[in-house]
Amino acid sequence: MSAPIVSCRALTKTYGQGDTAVQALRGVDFDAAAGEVVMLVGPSGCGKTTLLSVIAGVLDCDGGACQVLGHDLRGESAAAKTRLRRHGIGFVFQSFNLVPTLSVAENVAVPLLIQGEKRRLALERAREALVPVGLADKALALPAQLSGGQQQRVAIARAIVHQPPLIVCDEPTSALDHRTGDQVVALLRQLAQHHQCCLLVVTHDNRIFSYADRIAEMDDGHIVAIRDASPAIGS
Amino acid sequence: MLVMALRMLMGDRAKYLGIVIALAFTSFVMIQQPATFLGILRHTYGFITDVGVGDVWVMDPKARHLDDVKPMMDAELQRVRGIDGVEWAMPLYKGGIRARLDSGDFVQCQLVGIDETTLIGGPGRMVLGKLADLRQSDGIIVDAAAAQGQLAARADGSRRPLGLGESIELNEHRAQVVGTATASSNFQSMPTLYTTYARVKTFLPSERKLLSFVLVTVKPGEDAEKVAAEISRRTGLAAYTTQGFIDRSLRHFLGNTGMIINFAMSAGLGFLIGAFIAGQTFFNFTTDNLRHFGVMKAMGAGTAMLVRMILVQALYLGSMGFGLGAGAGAVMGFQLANVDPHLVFRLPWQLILGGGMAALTVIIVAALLAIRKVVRLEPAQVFKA
Ligand SMILES: Nc1ncnc2c1ncn2[C@@H]1O[C@H](COP(=O)(O)OP(=O)(O)OP(=O)(O)O)[C@@H](O)[C@H]1O
Ligand SMILES: [Mg+2]
Repeated sequence: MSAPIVSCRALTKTYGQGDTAVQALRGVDFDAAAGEVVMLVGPSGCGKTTLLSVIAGVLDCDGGACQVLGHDLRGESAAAKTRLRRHGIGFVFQSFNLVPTLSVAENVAVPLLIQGEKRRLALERAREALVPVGLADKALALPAQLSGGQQQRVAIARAIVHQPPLIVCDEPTSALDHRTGDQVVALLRQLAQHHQCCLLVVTHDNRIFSYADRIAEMDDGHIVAIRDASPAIGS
Repeated sequence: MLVMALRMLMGDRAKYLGIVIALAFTSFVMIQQPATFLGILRHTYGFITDVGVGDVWVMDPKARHLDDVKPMMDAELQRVRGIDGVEWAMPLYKGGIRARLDSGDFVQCQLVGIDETTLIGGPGRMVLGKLADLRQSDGIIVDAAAAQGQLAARADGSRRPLGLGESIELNEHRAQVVGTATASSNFQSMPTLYTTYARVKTFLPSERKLLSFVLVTVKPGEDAEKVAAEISRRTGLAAYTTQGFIDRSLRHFLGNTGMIINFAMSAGLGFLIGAFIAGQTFFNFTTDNLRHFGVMKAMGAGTAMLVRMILVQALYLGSMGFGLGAGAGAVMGFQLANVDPHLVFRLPWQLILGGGMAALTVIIVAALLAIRKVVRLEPAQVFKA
């Protein structure tokens, strides 16, 4: 097995206090390695987004251990987690989350600019990142001028432009029709494999399960099963 | 990332222009209103600064300010001259007189009579003719703006500037124009006419007392305050240093007209409206972009970076708004002053600074409120649809 990227043990997370407390994670063990595509699936409210948020370093857990890219998140300061996200993690969201007033290339350049890259160089690299997602000719367009599938491909270019070892996606296809969703996940998988990065995908959409190496099934704050899936389309 | 912040801002064209215009309006009223006010204030003491010489002004103790002249006996001039520390003392007449124009119209004017030998207290800048020509019989010097304006009406119904050698009637006495000069306009916007102190008596034969002021210069090394006090003590007249007299006239004006309140209110109201619109719009702009700031936070942008982005946006908006507003204020003010010399407009650097501070304060306050929201933003929010 290749280098571990994510390693969680007995993770717990409770939202709120007292009567209204919701135990979203009730002791989750989870591992993911470089170069693999893992999908987190399960019924609504079972804790998928919560687990993904903890792993991505945007949410603090209450108990257990969580190692991401060699950092023990529970011991890290907020600033250290910010740095970890900046250099180590790419994000893809359900609703794309592109800045509507910036051009496609500028949107893709954002992670590089956050890292402190010079604007000109960042835009150059952003344009290069648009080639594999098939949008090189849309660099100057505004997000609103693109279709949903194209916008999500821009978001993928943005997630990968700084070549992070981990990419997290929450429901990347649920705003897209089936065919487009399929293409987007295929593209995600292909790019992740190309860069040997670990891809975590939260999804409801069983039609894309075929792109996973492993599928972790969650229910009520637990991972109830992890099964190997043989990807329908090899890399 | 800071360039990106500006691109984000300008991409939202409607809000961007809205904020700039509101800030420009704020700066504009904060500059234009006080500048006009200062211009008007200057009318109230323009006569004193026009005279230009003299350290001490002596007048009847009942005269409360510049336009409240209580004539004194000519003998007072000699008494003032006799006081220690006085280098020289000159008579000055200042009063109203009716001028009858070529057209037959009457115009109320301000007549100034100055010492014939020294011509001290005469107009500072001659436009036509020479100051010394005032010694010619019936000679008067006319304020140049009035010569082209209020005094230009002719018998044939046309308007032609009053020129050298022409005459008007003062109190049924012929007065011949021997020169024109620039004079600060007075508060009542009356034309100013200069003549010699002695000739005032010809124009106003029925007046018993004509000495409005005694203009005093103190001997080198003497303190004007002390000499003024000494003059008061010895003659029972009121004596003020030039600056003291200006202050007194200003205080009287400010204390007895509602003007300061009026100007402060319109400037204040304008400021509030502009500030509210600009601040509110900028705050909304940031709130609209909160989601994107959250995404950037998740992607590893530190709070300091986001704060810098918002500040850059604010500073950019502030300087654009201020530039436009101050520019428009200055252009409009000086244009108006060109059209009508009575609408004097004063724009000292302090006012420009003040207008800049006003725009900046508004936008910085809005930015701080916006920053508070961005700082409190939880990056985990980004996964919420
Ligand atoms: N900020 C929050 N405050 C309180 N409760 C929360 C919060 N976020 C999530 N929860 C609760 O925690 C539980 C797990 O939520 P989570 O979003 O992780 O589920 P999910 O598996 O992603 O669901 P979905 O498929 O609907 O997105 C749910 O019961 C949810 O209501
Ligand atoms: Mg979810």
